[in-house]
Parts: sequence; structure tokens; C-alpha cells
Amino acid sequence: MIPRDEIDPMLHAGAGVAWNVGRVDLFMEASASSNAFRNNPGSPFGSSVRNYSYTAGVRIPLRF
Amino acid sequence: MQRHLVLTAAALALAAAAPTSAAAQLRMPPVKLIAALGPSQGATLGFIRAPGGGAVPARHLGSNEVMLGLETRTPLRGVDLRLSLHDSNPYLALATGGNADQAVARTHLTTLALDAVIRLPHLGGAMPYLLVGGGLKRYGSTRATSGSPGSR
Repeated sequence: MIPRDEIDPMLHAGAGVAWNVGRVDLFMEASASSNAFRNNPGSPFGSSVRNYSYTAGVRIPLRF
Repeated sequence: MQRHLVLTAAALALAAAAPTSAAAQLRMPPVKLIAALGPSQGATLGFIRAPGGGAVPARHLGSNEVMLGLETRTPLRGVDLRLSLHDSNPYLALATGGNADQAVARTHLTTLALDAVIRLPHLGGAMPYLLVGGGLKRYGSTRATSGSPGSR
């Protein structure tokens, strides 16, 4: 049972909070993405696929 | 996980090596590099077409995700624009036969998102924000196995 490759458009939404620490920002955010999975044989509209992620990261200013 | 570390290291190296030019700073809006790591989860994936015909239901069992992106200002006050690439290797549980989750496949999930970052009023030292946007999501197959993800 090998999943086939799928590329689908998705909607993305989330919320986060950031803190300025020196020159960089630290942040934590939660986001969700939703798309229709085309390989759903039971519905012409596909099955909604939702993924949730919770990330912590850093935002670094670039200088050009 | 090694690939995640390599991506993060490459992004940090890019930030460190970015050339500095006062003239260019006047022309370019400020750009920020974003690197993040965290867990991802999924709801029922839907149905995956089996090689021999038919389809099997699949569940997303979760994974760690790495995110790299660029964020810049826009002419709209309080709104930034973010382009980000998310990468993870989640396990998928495939329900085969009468019992659910008899087989487990490891897939490669990549998403490319373009979001508006709506900055909200500061709360003390914290800067809350909302993300609204869209993009593309790709599931790519890597390998299929049997059993539970904990057994590997």
C-alpha cells in the first residue's frame, strides 16, 4: 500500500506570539492547513485533510 | 532529522553570509529569515489509492516539522508577508482489511505557504500575530512497511 504523490492547493491559518531578543525575534506559533484529498473514491469533492503544526523558531533580520 | 538539521544550518549560513550594503538597504524592504521546528499532527488523511486497485483509508500519525521562510513588510500597516516551506516525514496508518492500522507507511509531506502576517497590538513585551494564507501541499511516498511506527 504505497501512497501516491499528491500536490493539492491548501488553506493555511494560524496564530503566534513573538518576543524581541536583541536583533532577533523568538516566536511560538500554531497553524493548521486544510486541503481536499483528490484520491477519495467516495466523494466527488474529496476528503478534507487537515494538518496541525506547533513550532518554535527564530526570526533573523537579513541585511542586503 | 539529519536533513532537517542540514536545512537549518544552511539557512543560518545564508543569514550570516548575506552581503551588507547601505545603498541596498535604502531600496529593499527589511527581510527576515525564519527558521522553526516543532511537532505536526494530522487528522484523517482520507483515502489512498492502492496499487492493485481500490482504496484504503489512512490516518496521519504525526511527525516533527521543520520550517524555513522569509518575511517582509508590505505597504499595508501592520501586515507582513511570509513565504515559508514546511517539511516533515509523517507516518501514515493504513487501514487494511477488517482491522485499522495494520500497515504503516512513511511519507514525505512538503508544504509551500504564502501568508499574510497580521500583527496585533503588543501585550507587554509579547507581539501576537495571526497568519492567513494558502499554498500547496505535497505528499510524496517514500516507503511502506507493516506494524507500528514505534517498532522502528
